[in-house]
Amino acid sequence: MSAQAELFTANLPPDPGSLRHFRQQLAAWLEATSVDERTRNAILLAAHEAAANAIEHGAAPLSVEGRVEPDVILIEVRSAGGWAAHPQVRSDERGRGIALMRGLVSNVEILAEGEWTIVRLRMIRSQHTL
Amino acid sequence: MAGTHLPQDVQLERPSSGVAVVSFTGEHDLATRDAISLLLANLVGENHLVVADFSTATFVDTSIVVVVRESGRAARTRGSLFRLQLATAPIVELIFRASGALDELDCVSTRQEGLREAPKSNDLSTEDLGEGTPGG
Repeated sequence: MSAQAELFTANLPPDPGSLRHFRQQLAAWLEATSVDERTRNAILLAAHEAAANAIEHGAAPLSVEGRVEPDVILIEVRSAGGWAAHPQVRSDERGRGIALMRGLVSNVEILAEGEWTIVRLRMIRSQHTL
Repeated sequence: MAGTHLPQDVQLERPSSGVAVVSFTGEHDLATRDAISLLLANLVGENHLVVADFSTATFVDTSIVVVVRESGRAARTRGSLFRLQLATAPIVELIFRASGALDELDCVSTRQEGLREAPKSNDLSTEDLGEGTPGG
């Protein structure tokens, strides 16, 4: 993970056991962004769900980038494998994870680009969705 | 549940016969989901009251919330009680609330509330109770 300026980057192995360390890294970065706890928690939960989806249904490599702009925090989770279109993702608990993401942050985009699946989370700093 | 190996950061108490309190500390996610699912399924199957205490948990993800909700439904189907104890870290409260679980589950904020109306030993069918012992 690197946290130079306002950029966060992390590469995760495709192992659920890596999620805890990822959350610790992301939480530390969010802490330094000076956003309030409620916003940090919402972003952390949504980013965790996106990464968990990628680990459960996608394939390596899996990377996460975060960026802070004046009014918005952006998180992008990129993984190999076209898991977003998988019927199970939309019907089972992972589908609930996607619904949760949409409730937690201002905007969620799930994009299929070739063999890649990209989840983009956008959180307006002043907006509390829940 | 005899000799059950508990998942990391999970403690099991049996305050009385037919009553189980399973306490979750620390972080729980996809990595421990299957073990927690098995534990709760067994406890619901063997007890008349199960309290799932997340009051000292520091992180829970959707996969765990799904397991907890399924346990609540299983208890209802069986005619037993399943309670969720919170009063916890804001991020844990947030996921239970955002997922709608608080609307579905019997939620309490103290152990005393969690154990109210706990069945007395002589009210219980030994056939239902199994041979439960604290795991670990």
